[in-house]
Amino acid sequence: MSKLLESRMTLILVLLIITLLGGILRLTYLDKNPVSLSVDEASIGYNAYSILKTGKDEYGNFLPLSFKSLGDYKPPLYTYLVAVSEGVFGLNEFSVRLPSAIIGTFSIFLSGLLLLLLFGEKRYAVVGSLLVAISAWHIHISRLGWEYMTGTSLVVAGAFSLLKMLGGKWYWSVTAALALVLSMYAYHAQRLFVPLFILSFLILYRNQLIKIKKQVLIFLVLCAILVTPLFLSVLLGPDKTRAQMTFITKDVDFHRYVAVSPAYQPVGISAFFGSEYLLLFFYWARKLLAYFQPSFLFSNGLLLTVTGSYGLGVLYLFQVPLLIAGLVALFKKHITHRKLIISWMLLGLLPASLTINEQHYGRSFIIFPALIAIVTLGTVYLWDVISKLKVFYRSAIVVIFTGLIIWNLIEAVLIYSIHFPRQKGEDFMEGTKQSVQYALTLKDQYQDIIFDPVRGIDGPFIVNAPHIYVLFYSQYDPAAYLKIPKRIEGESYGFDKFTIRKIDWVKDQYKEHTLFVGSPWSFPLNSLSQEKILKKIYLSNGKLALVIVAND
Amino acid sequence: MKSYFNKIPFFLITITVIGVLLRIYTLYFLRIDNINLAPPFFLELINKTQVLPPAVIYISSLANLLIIFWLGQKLFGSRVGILAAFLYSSSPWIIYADISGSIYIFLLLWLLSFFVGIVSVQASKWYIGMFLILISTAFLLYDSLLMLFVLPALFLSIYPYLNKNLFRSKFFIMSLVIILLPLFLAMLKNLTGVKNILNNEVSLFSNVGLLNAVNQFRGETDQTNLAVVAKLAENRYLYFTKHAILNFLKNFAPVVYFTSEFKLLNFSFSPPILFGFIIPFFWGLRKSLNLLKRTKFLLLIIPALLIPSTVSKSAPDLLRLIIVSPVIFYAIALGFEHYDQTPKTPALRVLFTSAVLLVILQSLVTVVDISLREPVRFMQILGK
Repeated sequence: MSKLLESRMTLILVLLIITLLGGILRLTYLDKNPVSLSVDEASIGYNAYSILKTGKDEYGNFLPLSFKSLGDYKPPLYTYLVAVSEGVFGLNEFSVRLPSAIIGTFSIFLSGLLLLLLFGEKRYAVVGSLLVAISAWHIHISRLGWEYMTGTSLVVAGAFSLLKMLGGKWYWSVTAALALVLSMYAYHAQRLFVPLFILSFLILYRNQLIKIKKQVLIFLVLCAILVTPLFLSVLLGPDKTRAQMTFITKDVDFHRYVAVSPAYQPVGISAFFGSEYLLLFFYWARKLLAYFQPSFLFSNGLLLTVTGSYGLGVLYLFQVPLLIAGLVALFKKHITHRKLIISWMLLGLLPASLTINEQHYGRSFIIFPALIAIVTLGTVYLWDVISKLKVFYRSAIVVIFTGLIIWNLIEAVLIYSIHFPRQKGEDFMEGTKQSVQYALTLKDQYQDIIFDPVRGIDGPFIVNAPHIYVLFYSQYDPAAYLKIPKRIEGESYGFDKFTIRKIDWVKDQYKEHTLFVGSPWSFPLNSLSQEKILKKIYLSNGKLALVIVAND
Repeated sequence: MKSYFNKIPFFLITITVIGVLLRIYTLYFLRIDNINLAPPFFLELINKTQVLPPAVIYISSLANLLIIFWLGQKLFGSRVGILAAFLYSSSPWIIYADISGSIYIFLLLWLLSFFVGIVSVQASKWYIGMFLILISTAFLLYDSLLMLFVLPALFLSIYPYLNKNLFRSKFFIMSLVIILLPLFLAMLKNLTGVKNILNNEVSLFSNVGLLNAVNQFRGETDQTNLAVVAKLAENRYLYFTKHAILNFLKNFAPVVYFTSEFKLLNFSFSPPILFGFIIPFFWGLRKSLNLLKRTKFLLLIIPALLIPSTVSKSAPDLLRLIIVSPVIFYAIALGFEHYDQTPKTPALRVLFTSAVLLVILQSLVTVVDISLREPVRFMQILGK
């Protein structure tokens, strides 16, 4: 392979072919799988549409640096990218997901280049980019219209530029600063990771950086200038609400099982050592280490199937020996950038471990490049070991391993194309699109259209945001939406003919000329006259998700 | 400093006293005494329900401490032996297992004796070695059905390094047969009992949820045109193989040993081993890769020792993993030992200083927590 890759052009050609293959996996049926737009995707989509048409978000903020969205204050970059995409392809599912898929595809090529810099041999670039191209984690994140892929790809570009900057060219300082600071505008986790990553880079490479003081200065000054608006927005704006909402101190399990009411009121030194804050520190350590659990890494980390069954982890099962070999090689071999890879891995888990959820494949995606670097290292290391074996053993290992890879990849295709849509449709609010589109066709026949925001197959536990789907699928004119009066009473929200509130059938059955859209829990389906039920909407797994009822 | 370590009896007594005090303290606040006591396999087989007396567990634990020291000293030197023994006596993992009366403390005694036997045979202390191997094999097999899988696996994993004369000795083979004959006869006589105990102990494949999931997967793919491919990639044999592999891998996650992710006795927030020890542990592991000649033996036996936890429905099972605990203690102790021997870079110094500070901090937090919140957590679990 080394001989084949001798020329730079051949390497680029190979990387482009791999990128093309990865692109196919990321762009095929982009609008259909995941099966429906999630609430966040719909919100990003409509806010981008609003920016495109009016320059303001759905709340009337002009070119915001933080989108209030569903009250979670989304970072701005991805929404602006979607605005560009919608400018070309219109307001639809494809446009919302396209930027992420394109960036994901491009990052295959970029990862190859980064690995070339990290390990100094072309074969690492080829193996690494191939692993990225077929990675279930990378493919899944690329196909979601969320911010994770943009944020991480920019960090990859930033790390690549930083390493290039060591060569002394000033323009790499500019690209490094641009990419790294932009990544902080792309996703929350990067806002903690990037400053620490830059700091660790400055410490680890201090001897080389001292020789290129001018370039370092350009980099730092640019970073400071670019980050200032974000810094002010976080400091003075409502962005911190998001951090407060998801911070580990709000973790339900911590309060339920760890920081329980004490058996007695501690005093003095036992009050200090028995404090909840110290317990919280060790609880955080547990959350951090939990990211290295095999169940997250190899069995169901991507949450594509129901709990308790096997789905896809962030790595494939065949990558177990590659990961182990990679770790061994990382410590045993002389790897120039070893400390950078390790600090990327550990710092990358910091933001995810400081938040409330259990292992979160999106928030931890920032470690993907470091993880893939270790697996790539392991693959090449193992290959070198195997190639020294006798032909019989070498062939046997290659045949067994190829079988394992084929099994894992077939399994991944089946899970992603068949089981994921059927088992996780509800997580992506499957059916909401059909219900909104159906209601819109009947809009002129009714005075009121009421959407119940609570749904769920097993019980009314899932909170939806139907108003954003109404805006999205009706392509509601953003300028008109900004001007139209909104009806807000308690937990009820209304505009135009649409009202979002819980359906109380005992009272609502007497409300005339009204169309109701709710889950089977919203209506007494057994006693309800069949004539009133206009439509039943089912999930891909055949279960009834939503019902449209008319009171004429 | 080194002169202190020459005073081995002083250190061993101090470690023992600390261990005893920690157990008394825990027992005073937490009424978890004897909740795990269970009858040994042979007694179950002959329909007796007597459990091992708690005193046997306590004495076994004390003996374990001494053997861990002795083996550590033989394999890696006195400092590693002393540190490993200290870790054994003071880790919440062993303290909780001791107090709750886990049979795995007793099994660990005989596994350690088995290794002492092996080391003695290798050192040509033929009779004492053979005696220890025989008696420990007998105790292990009479006490736990799972050891029927563990022991052969152990023999297999260390076979290349074993003194082959052991298996050529007619006396050894004959004694083994005589000692084990009553057990095998009892097993033959009560095959239903064996099956029931086996089903209880090996619950790896009795996961109903997983079985339902496999059926659901097949049902979903059958509705598509990929049904033929799914037959090859999604059959239950492949899923159960994957399940077994993942159960095995779960035992290697550091989160199991250094945090309370898998709660001790299903309620505790005390970590099996204090979090700060993770740094010397990895340092020890890293160094052990460079010392393969000395550590190969330890690394090879790990898979065999993980069998009981792997076949458990709730893998990783911390109580079953107790038999692997000395390996972790040795790794940590080796980490400290090599830190002391290697030239210290500022980064390494910072790393180890933080490790020690973390250990001190978490020790104090855990000690206070045992009196303050652990009883409440225990009551919560009882309430459930």
